[in-house]
Amino acid sequence: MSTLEEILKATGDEVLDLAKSQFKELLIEAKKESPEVINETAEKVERWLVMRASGDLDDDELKALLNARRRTVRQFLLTQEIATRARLERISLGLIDSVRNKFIGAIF
Amino acid sequence: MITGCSLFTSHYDATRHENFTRLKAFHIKFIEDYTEGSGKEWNKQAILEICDQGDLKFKEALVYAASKDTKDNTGANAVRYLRDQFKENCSSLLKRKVLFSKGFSAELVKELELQYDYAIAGELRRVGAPQ
Repeated sequence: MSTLEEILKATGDEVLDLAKSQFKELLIEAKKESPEVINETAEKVERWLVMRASGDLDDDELKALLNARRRTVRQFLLTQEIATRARLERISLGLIDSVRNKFIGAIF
Repeated sequence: MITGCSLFTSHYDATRHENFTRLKAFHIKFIEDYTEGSGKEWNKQAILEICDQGDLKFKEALVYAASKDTKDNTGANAVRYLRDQFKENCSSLLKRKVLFSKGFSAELVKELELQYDYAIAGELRRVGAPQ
């Protein structure tokens, strides 16, 4: 089995059908998303499932990689938070400093 | 996402930045050293020692980051995610009693590089970071 589609078809189980369908929808949605980290997550999850099906990873290794990816996404979100806060500070303090250092005395 | 009382964030800190780069090198070398290969064997004592060394390094980095954080905790959280990753890798190595497989290790190292690169990128986006 070399593709995710083949893997999902091979594991025929009615109980899993809904989960499979939801998973495929999420995967399609993630691949369309930006930022890159979301798209990259979809590609990696797909690759790891194929690796698991072909025996290149075992269950524990697959779980460990999924945990690692969760932390990668969290670290990315933290970086975004830091960038947003820093930008707010630069803009706010930049405005205040402009008025204090350049406008007072020159305009008024 | 902005939460809590603190609107702004801790400014750039050169030591915290350096800690991320040192921990990245240490963590990736740890995974590579304990990946299957010719002449390598699983050795509980050696793993316990390297994991203990790592535990101290991550604790020091966490205490330092927390001491420099404002109320937003972004510095400490960045170290905490990395420390949790290291702890999970150590636990897995001890529990499974085998070295990391080559396929798994290659995928894990790619994730680790991204985790540390994001942590470093976050530090470099702070106010006061070198341009």
